[in-house]
This record gives sequence, structure tokens and C-alpha cells, in this order.
Amino acid sequence: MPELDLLDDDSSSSISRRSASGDSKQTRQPTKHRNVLVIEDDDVDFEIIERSLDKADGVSFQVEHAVRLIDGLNRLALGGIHLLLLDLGLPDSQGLETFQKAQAHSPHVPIIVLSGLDDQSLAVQAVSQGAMDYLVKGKMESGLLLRSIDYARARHKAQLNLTRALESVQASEERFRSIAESANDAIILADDTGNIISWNPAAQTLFGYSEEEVLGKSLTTLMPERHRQPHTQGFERFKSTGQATMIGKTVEFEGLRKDGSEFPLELSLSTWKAAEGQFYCGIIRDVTERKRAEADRMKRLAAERDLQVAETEINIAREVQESLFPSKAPSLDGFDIAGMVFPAGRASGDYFDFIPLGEDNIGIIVGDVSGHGLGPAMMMVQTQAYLRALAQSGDDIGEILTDVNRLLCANEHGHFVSLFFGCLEPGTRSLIYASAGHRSYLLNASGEVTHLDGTGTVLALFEDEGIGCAPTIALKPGDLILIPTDGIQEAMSPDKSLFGMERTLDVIRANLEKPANEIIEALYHAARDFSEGAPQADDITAVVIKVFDSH
Amino acid sequence: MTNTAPNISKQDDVTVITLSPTDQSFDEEGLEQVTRVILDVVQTANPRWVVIDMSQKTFFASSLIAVLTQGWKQMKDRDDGKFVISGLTPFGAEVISAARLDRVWDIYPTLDEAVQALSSS
Repeated sequence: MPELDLLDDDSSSSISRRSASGDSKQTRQPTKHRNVLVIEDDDVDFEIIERSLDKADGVSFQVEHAVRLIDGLNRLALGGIHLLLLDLGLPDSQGLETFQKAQAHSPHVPIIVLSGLDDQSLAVQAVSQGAMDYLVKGKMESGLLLRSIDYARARHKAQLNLTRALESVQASEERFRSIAESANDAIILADDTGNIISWNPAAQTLFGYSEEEVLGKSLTTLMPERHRQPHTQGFERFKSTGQATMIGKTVEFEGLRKDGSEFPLELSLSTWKAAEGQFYCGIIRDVTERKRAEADRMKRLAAERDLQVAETEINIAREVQESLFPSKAPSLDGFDIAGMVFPAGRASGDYFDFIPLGEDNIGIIVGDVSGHGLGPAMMMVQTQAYLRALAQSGDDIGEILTDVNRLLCANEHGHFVSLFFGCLEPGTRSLIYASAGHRSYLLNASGEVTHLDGTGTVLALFEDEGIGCAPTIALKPGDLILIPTDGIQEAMSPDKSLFGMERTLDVIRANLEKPANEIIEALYHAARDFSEGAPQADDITAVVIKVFDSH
Repeated sequence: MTNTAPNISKQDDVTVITLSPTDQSFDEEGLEQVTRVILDVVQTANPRWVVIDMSQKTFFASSLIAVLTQGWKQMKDRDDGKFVISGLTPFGAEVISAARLDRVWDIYPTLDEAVQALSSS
């Protein structure tokens, strides 16, 4: 819009110019140049105008003249005209239409309308439609024309500034609207009564209210009941004292949807003052997902901490367990006894022990608590403690197991214990055993197997269970007693086959001549080889008793 | 291996829990799931006739025996409650026999026999 500023053209020059009358004159003072187009079909009136303009001080008017509107518009189209003096009655256009055409053609050129006495009312209408002023021909003195031009200049400048300001405001509003419409966050404006005056699409998505439903409603509509009174109090305090706790900050609390559900939100609140009063802007973000992610992270951290604690406890339990295993097997004339445990990665309930029974006999114990982890490990420790205590005062191993069962049943463990308890009598070269659901095996020198079946059900399940003793077994040279836990038989191959009892016994047969501890090692390695490197799922424990001739 | 929860079905008036071969009952998580299913059924079955069908369980850890014992005990404490086992594989029969639980539990060779026995009792 270059023409808009031409009226304020302060470019100075000292060169000669062609005056409206065609004279040239020199001036030493800087002058302002104004290009004036006069569209006037009356030569006399034009001359009056030209002369009047020529009398101006400090301003040099370059006057151009057109008789018909069309010629004037063509000149305007060339640009450079600062002011148009327009007669409403022209050969090719009459009345208000003349002004309207000129204004539509060059809206940024200020127009002063020239009217005759008889069409003054038209001139007034033209001013109401945007003409800068009007002059009545015949009453047009030089001073009046120049004042009118000054007035037109000032008015045009004011209009120009106003236009720019309005355009700026309009652009600002459009920017805000564009941001608000496309924002992911809810943007809500409220007036100084706390009522909603603007509501963007994200707010509708977040709260469920349409703009029509919510405009004019109180902001408290969007809050759970418990937040409403504190909000109202804070709002009133800010209005009366200017003291705010939330303005300019980002705070978190809960919002209330149209359907009555609550959700966590983050609110950034700002305010500004205008002529109409105080206004507030809230930018609201739904932080449900963030809260959930935080909660998940906290839960995960807590679980990791719990896991660390559990692992530490299990490791301690494992150490305690291992410290309870006998450091060495008893050395008896005519017997080779070995007991070994090969732990899996976690604590479990495998257990073996050798305890003195009376002055001459040895108690042989192998037990297995169901399950894995701290509970079974502790139950194993408990079982060992009961057995050792009861074995000191009792002779009948069946009765001892019955008592242990009763004691274990007194606590709800959720686990059970299979347990072999044998009394090896070196003097009589015999074995008496009681077994709570724990199967063992007797191999003779030929490798023939006798199953040493349970004499009662597993421990810790049935409080009234009585566990008896099996008939005394007379041991012969070459006999071998194997008391394993299920970790050997249940070793699994990659194709999900179990190592099983037959393979176990085959390994024993193949290693009959070896010392008891080497037989157990051979069993362990055979079971592990069978698993082909898969992690050991369970403890592998066994006691082997080999019988020889006594010296 | 996919962890498959036990299947619950009804045959006549008998509630059947079929343990899946892939229920991972030797893991703590899988065992917890199996435990929850069995104890829930024991609490809610109407009538209180429950068969644990183990015909698909070629292998299980001893922990499962403890869970079955829990279910059996809870049912035993209820009037007219019946909790039986069916379809033991050789491995299952060996484990239960070794633990001497075959003397305590009612065990049927097949599911049909178990259902028939409970229905006609």
C-alpha cells in the first residue's frame, strides 16, 4: 500500500517545479511535495482550485487535471497521486456514484469531494462513506481549501493508523485462534466473574462439553466438588488483593469431565487486564498417561527393590542351608557313605544329614521340600532342627517322623516334605528306615534293585498321619543304597524327556565299583549331560551307602 | 512355551479342571495361576464335585502336589464335597504313589470314569 504514506511524504527538494498555473519558481526552503489530481469538468472551478493551491506555504502542490472520471481513474492507476479533489457531477458520472467509483478504484487515496450548492447532501453522504471532507464550489476560498487538505491529511493519517491497529489486532486474534484451534492442550479463557468465554476443540475433547454447553458457565463446572470452594476463595482473594498463588505457575490437580469422571491435569494459569476487566487464561493438559507411566515406573522400581531383597534373603538362606549340610560323611568300618548336594541357582528345600543315633548307630536323612525359594528353604531348616532335636530323645525313627509331621502341620506352609530317615546299625549290619513318601533304592552286587517304598505319606499335609518303620533290612557286602531327591530323575532333555529312574539306576550299575562320592558325581554329570546345558531346574542331592565286608 | 491356564468345564454336575501341559506350574507365576483356578473352583463349584484331569500332564513339579492337596483338603472340609484325580500319566502316577498320596486321594484312570463315579454317588 505505498499510496497510503504519500500524504506524509516529507521528502524535500529545492529544485524548480511546475506550479499549478505553469509558472516556475525557486525556493530555498525545503518544501513538501503533494501531487493533487483534480477531476473537474468546469474549467473555472479548476482554475480557482489551482490558484488556491498555489498560495500554500511550505507545500508544493503539483496539480493535474482531468475532466472526465474515466480519465481521472486512469491517472490514478498510474500512481503517485497524494490527494484527489473530485467533483461529483462529471460528464461520465453523476452524484454519489462518482465518489463510490473513485474510492473503489483507489481506496488508499484520500478524496475531498467538490459539490455544488444543489448537491451538498450528496457530499455529506460521501463523507459518511469515507470521503475526507467536502467543499462547496462557489464558496471555496483558498484558505478553506488548504485547511480542508490539512484536515483530510490528518484524518487520513488517523484512519491509516486505525486501520493498521485493527489489522494488527485482527492478525493477533487470528494467530490466537489458529493456535487455540490446533493446540493439543485445552485453552480456556474466563472473564472476571470466573465464567468461561472461550473454549477450544482440545478443551471439548478433554472435558466432553461442547462450546455451546460451556460458554458462560463457571470454571467450577470443570472441577470436582472438593476443589470448588478453594478455587472460589482464591479467585475472590486475587480480585480483592491481587495476591495469587497459582497465577504464572504450573500446578497439578484433578479435572471433572462431563460424564462425572475425574482425571489428573496440569494447569498453567495467566491473567491480564483490559478495559473490560480482568481476564484469565488456563492451559490444561491431561496428564493421565504421564501419571500412569510414573506409577508404573514406581511400581517397577519397588518390584526391583523387592526382588533384590528377596534375592539377598534367598542367598542368605542358601548360605544357611549349606552350612547345615554335614561337612563330611561318617566313617564306619565296612561302609562307604557319601552325601552330596549340587544346588540349582535358587534356594530350595533339598536336605541331607548324618546324625548320631545312640552310641553306635548313624541316622541317614534325605529330604526334599516341595517348591523353590525362601519358604521351602526355611521349611527345610525347620525340618532339620525338629529331626535333630527329636532324634536325641527318641529311638523309634518312625515315631520321630510322626512327631516331625505333627510339628510341621502346626504351621500352614503350603509345602510338603518327602523324607527318608534311615538308621544304619553297623553292629548288626542292618538298616531300619521310615520314609515319608520318599522313595529310595537298594541294589545288590548283581545290580538288582529293590524299591524302598514310603512307609507314610509326605510330611506337613496330614496332621494325624502315623509313619511306621519298614522291616529291618539285612545288608550284605556289595549292597548299595541310593537315596536321591527328585532333581536327578526330573532332569529334562531339550525334547522334554525326563532322565527318570531307569537311567539313574543304569548309571549306578555302571559305576558300582567306584567310591560312593564318585558314584554321586557320576549321577550328577549324567543328569546334567542329559539336560544338554539347560539351566539346572532343581537341586540334585543324593546319599549313597556302599556295604563291604567288615574287617 | 505359551503359558496356558487350566481349562474349566462342566460335565453333568461335575466341574472338571483340565490341567494344561503348558501351564508352567513349575514356575512361581504359573503355579500361582493354577493354584488360584483350583481354589476358586473348590470355593464356587456347585455341586461341590470336582475332577482334576491330569491326562495331559506328562511332567509336573512337586509344588503342584501341594496345590492339589490344598484343594483336596478344602473340599474335604465341606459337606458333600468331592475332589478326585483322573488320567494320571505314568510320571504322575509314580510321583503320587511315591508320596503315598494314592492312599489318600480318589484316583480314576480316566476322566469319564471319574465323572461317572461322582455323578452316580
